[in-house]
Amino acid sequence: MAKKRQDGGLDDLGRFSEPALLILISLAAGPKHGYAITADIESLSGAKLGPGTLYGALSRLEARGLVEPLPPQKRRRPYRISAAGARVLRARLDGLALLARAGQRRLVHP
Amino acid sequence: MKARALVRLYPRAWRERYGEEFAELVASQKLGPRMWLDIVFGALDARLAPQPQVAAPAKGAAGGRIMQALRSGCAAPAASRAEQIRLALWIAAVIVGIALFYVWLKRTVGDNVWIEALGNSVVSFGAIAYMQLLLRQYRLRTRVAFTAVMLVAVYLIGLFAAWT
Repeated sequence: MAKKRQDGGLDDLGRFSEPALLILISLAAGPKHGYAITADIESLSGAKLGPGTLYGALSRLEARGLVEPLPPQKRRRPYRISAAGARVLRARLDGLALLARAGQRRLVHP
Repeated sequence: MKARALVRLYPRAWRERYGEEFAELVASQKLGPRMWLDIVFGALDARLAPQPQVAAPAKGAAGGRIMQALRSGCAAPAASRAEQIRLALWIAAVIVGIALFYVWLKRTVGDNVWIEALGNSVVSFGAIAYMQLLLRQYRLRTRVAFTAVMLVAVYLIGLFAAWT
């Protein structure tokens, strides 16, 4: 049986789990507002997050204390990754790296 | 449609928290069909599964109360997995129980419109069983009255169908 991931933060987000991961990765490079997050994610992964998906994921991340809103600049509010968010992101990326290495090993030695 | 109008699809508490920045983001993008769908689904999500920071419904707003009642029965954060399984078993038990009772009556008493009406109403009784979860935040008296009215109404419709 596959071992259940225990990074405590993204697993229960359902369809917002992947957008939330991409947002955390984007914010790991520094605070950004909505438009900058979408542009950054598009350049990183090729995925274009719609506004509904972006704010669905952002509101969940904010509710879990994984991102923090900063004071608005004009009509745009930047967000930054919190310490808890950085821990969750690190755990998730470590898990993905393990999975990627295992997959690559199997491709070489099936 | 302007970005401001699209923001109005979202609940008031959500708009107060995210409305400005959301409208700014929508205004900066080209609105294709995919974007439209994304915004509509986002609004549905914000209404059915509001996050704690935007969960407070407007006081006295009928829409707010209805959505709160729906959430109490439908939305994942309000109904745990165990509750959802209990609900599914409860509805299945009601439908199977009444269907078996209908078959038993038919075999022992024989065909008549009263029994046929019961058979016509089996699935609707399952829906009434589901309503128990939607109404669980209300007083027992209200729930009993509502359920009784619904049972009678459904049975009368089943009776009408059996007669015609």
